[in-house]
Amino acid sequence: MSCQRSFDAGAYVLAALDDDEAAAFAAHLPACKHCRDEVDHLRHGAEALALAVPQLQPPPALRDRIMRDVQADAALLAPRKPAPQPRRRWSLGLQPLTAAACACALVAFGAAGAAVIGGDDGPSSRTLAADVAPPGAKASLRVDGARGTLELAGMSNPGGGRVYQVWLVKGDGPPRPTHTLFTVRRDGRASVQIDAPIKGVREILVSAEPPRGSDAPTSAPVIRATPA
Amino acid sequence: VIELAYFGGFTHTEIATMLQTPVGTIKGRMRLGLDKLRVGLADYAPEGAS
Repeated sequence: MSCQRSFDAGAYVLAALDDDEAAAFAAHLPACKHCRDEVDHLRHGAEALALAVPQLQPPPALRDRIMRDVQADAALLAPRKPAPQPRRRWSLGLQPLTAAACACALVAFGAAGAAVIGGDDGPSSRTLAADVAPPGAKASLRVDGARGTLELAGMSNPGGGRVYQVWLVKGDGPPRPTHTLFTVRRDGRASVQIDAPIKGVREILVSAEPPRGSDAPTSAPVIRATPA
Repeated sequence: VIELAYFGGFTHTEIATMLQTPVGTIKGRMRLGLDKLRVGLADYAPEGAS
């Protein structure tokens, strides 16, 4: 069944609708499968646009400079409110400028966490095996103090415009979302630094989620790692 | 149209004004352009992407 509003899908995917139109279209989506399909369909084209510009490697000094600013901001903001949610334009359009702004926000989240936990973690680094659901895929978790990095091989991307999201489980609590969203490279490999401290975390999960991530997992985890 | 929206950050109404073209035409071209991109890039898509 077609829907007249699906005409807006292209502009919506490009984040080119006016704010009120975009909000109205987003509110319409859950009720209209035709428009959802259209958005999913067109999003593949929009995602390719992010790769249409030359990929540059930032100079190492830039990272240090950003981290200094971020840590100063984190010290001011951390006691008052949690890290802000990523803006919608980022997940929809991956526009270069908003992408850079969002990257700073993600870094801010990690830095705030590091500032809270700080201190007693030594430089000890160890690598642990992780359980992986897809046949032939391999995953390991490198633990470096309070930081964790997942090393993946033989994985394929989830498809359907979805991405992988990392979750942290503490005690018997539900999986808590992280801002770590990723896809694997064409050779099936990925090195994923988790943007949150893993100290006190019982289990690290990875599941396939919509491009902007989820608040709770919407699919079964494909990777389980135990940092302890 | 796609370049103006994606890289320029303009809305469809701004683009319509700029190009002196009806808003409906701009929306249609965005949709058509994205669909052509998707079709053109299908051969390069990673395995598992539809």
